[in-house]
Amino acid sequence: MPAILNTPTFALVGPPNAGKTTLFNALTGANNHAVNYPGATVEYAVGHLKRQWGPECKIADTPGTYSLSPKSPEEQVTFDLLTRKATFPTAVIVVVDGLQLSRHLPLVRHVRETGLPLAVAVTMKDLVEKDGRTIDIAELSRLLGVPVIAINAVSGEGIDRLVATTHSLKPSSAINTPQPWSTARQSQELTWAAQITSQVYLDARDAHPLRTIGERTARLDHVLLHRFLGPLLFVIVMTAVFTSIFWLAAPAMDFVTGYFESLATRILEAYPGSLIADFIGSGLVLSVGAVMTFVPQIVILFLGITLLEDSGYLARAATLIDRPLSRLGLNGRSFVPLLSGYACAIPAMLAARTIPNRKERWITLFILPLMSCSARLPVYALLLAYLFAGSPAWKPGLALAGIYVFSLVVGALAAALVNRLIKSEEHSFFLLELPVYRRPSLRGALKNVYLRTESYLRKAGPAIFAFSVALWVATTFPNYKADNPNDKLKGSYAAQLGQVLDPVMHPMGGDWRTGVALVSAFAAREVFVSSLGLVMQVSEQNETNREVSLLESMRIATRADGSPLFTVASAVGLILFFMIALQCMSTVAVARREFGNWKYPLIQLVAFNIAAYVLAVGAVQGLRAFGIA
Amino acid sequence: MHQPKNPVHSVLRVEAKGSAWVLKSIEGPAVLVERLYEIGFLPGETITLLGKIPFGGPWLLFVRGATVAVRESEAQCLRF
Repeated sequence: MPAILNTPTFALVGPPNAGKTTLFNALTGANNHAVNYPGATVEYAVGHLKRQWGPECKIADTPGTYSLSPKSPEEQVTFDLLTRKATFPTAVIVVVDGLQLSRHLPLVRHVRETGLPLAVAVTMKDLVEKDGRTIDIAELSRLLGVPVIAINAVSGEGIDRLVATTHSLKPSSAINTPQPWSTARQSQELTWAAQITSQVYLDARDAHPLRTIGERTARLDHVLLHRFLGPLLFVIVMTAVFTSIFWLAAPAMDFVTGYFESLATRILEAYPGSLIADFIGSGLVLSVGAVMTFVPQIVILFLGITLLEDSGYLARAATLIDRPLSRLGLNGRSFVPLLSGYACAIPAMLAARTIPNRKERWITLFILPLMSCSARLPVYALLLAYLFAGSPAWKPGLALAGIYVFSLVVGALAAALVNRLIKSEEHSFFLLELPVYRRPSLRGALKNVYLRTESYLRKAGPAIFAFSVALWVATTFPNYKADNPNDKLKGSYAAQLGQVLDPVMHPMGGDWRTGVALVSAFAAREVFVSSLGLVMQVSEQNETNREVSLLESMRIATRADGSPLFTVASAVGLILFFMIALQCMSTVAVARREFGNWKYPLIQLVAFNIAAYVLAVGAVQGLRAFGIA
Repeated sequence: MHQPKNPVHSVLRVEAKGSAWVLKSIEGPAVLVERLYEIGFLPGETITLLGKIPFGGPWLLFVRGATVAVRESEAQCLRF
């Protein structure tokens, strides 16, 4: 039975950019955010109606669609929600853009044909009025034969009426499957929509009332999509986003790291020799620190992406990059997923659902783990700090830029390779509607950044934390009572694991300690830093009998044969390894869901890790052959 | 290169920015035709060429009050 006895559910359905997600945020006050880029809503979000708007009910936000004839995985989500008995909503609110009625009204008709109870919400009426026109809402309602309410999701105007109207809709008696698409049907509907539009726009000189807004957007596009300026500005904007990740986040990261380290030291000093204090200090506090260190970078990257998305620029960026990407078997629509991949591959893989062509989507999913996600940054930061000790700051900065560029090249090569291997008869298309430019709301953006960061921490945090604690256990037990820390470590479980890893690590210029750190990086890449800190600290502490910084201990550490553990060659090898290796198990799990099978994620897992190891060994041995240890 | 003379090819390629044409029909793969229709490309509509992305990138077309970026191959499905 549809949810008559349960809490009622209202589904928000609408074309891309109609203002669905803004309405969803206003109705539920949580989750998701206002999007300006087609298809940023990748799975439908469900929230509870804020009590201020009316009696309890659930609101489902669906991916944007122009019709009930799905042609991409995300349009399928919307289609399934409205046509599967298990998910029938109590009622549907179709959200249409008041500026785009002549293109958005056919969807109202498609939903009406299903027989589901239906109300229409018209957005952007304020913008229409700014243009000196208005929409006759009562007439529109009469012509459509369904309730229509004009809303302003930002000011809250009309929302209480929309909710009350939707609550009072009569439950449907029978639900029909939507009719199949046909040219004749679509052209009849578009003609019908244009007629209605011309009847409900008062003062309208034509059916497309995009005068002022359209002109402003056209003026901006004249510059941002200019033949020469467009690509140049694209490069500048993207460079600015990426440099700010490094430069702006660095002080905040240092602060976070320093805070947790000093806290751990204070705990250890207050209770010397206590196992519990050791657990809290070296285990818990440093683990939480490892989780928190990369938050500044994630916040800045997500903030940049959100502001670009909300302003309308990301759709332009996708347009500018479509041609080069299509050469690699990708699509302009791959751009946002790939860009998000620099923060984290998990949300990025979900964002790839906006790519309708299966092959292009698969290639995007396949190369996403190669994008330099923010979890790699702490590792690069540490290794670059080692390589460029005492050099001016621009040198490691430049090297980092080089790492990013190289990872892009590797991604492009992988895409080109996979493109050759996969055969597809499916037609590839781009066809992207460019939304009007809007001033992004900083408050909305910050809320979105907060939610994304929170969900990232919730997904990655426990794994990192658990592994860090497990590592503390592995380096502390079974000889936790040993007086000499050296004895404690030598007999530890970690050292035993290290014995197994040592021969594998040797060609890479490492030993059991880098091996243990690399294994722990399979929980989350940045754990490498805290793990290395842990094994190095314990192993070096006893020799010098004092606390030394991780960098310092890296400089003095030697392998069993007396050769230095960290050299230029071995650090470069580790950087290369991290660039290619797929160590994030959460990514593999999400990839399985997005590919719909285990085959491709397993190919990724095996191929990327073998390639990473081979490349790292090759680089280390090659550098040595040239006399660079 | 011997390419069949395609009306759009010759029309939109040589025409300057801002030129407007009345769409006659859409010919091409079914799924693409469906997309183009859905987004508002209806025979009889006036389509304006707003510009082109350099290096063979998408074309910017204005239809029914919206700017739509389409690849050259997609634009070629539009017959004027």
